[in-house]
Amino acid sequence: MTGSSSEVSKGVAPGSQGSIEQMNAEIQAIANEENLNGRHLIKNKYNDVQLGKEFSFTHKNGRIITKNGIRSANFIIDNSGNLHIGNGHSYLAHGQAVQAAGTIKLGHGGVPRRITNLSGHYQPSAGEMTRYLGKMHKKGLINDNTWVDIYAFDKSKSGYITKVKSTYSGPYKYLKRRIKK
Amino acid sequence: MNKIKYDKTVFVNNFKNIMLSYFDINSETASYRIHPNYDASKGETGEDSVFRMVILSDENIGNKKISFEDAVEILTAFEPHYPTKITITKASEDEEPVFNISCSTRVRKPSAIADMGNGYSPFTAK
Repeated sequence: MTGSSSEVSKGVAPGSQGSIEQMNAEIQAIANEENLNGRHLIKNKYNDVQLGKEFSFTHKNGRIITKNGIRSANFIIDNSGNLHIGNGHSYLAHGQAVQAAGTIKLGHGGVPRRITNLSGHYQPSAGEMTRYLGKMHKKGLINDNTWVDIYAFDKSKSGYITKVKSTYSGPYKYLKRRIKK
Repeated sequence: MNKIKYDKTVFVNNFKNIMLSYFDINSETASYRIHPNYDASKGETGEDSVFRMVILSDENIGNKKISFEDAVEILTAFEPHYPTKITITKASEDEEPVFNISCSTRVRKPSAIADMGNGYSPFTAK
């Protein structure tokens, strides 16, 4: 493995400096699009709306508390900027394009502990996820210590997608330092 | 499952051993077609949805004959989480034996996967 132990402890995947530069380029492209259109939407890659369930929740002082007590769930941010939590990304979004999608894990008292970009329907890229994490941070939906796992796909020698690898795994505070302003 | 250290090595050994035990065949000499077994009535995590819609999608592996090595990489895409149930059946026997793999689209840590009772969890064979 390449990369110093301090880099690894700060969430940087070894040898991923190139991918961080690519991510910054993608983030800039998304920002340009937002300047033109007001927002960047992630399309539903499939033409269906799965079965699902939405959970009611409260959001106050940086804490998200679901009424049913469930602490691991799928989430989307719809094209109006509203957070929805539950099961089934395309269900939560009524099949429409979204601003963000993934999974969220809430800790004791509703503190957002972990967030990922795992969604079969929306498959947010690293750049898309990093961009919407910035917005979620501003809204108090995640904090500096929320653990972020950004996943990307890898292929076998035969060309099949066989791996879902983490391109970043660490607290949000280290990720945001790497984003070009 | 039993409280032993369950990792990819154990998973691969279980795959090899069930092929030997049930079909009397070296797993690496066979080809496989993987078919997702999706239960829409059960809740789906983010990992489950990516496993079902990307890894096990028609675009990726739909009805293709794949090698043992590729089958292992696909089934362990989310290690240390593994499919909750994998059922192997013989498809045909030509010069190159082919097996169908019916694979649950739900992936979980080993402690959350039911023991198949045959020593080869999460694999069963018919």
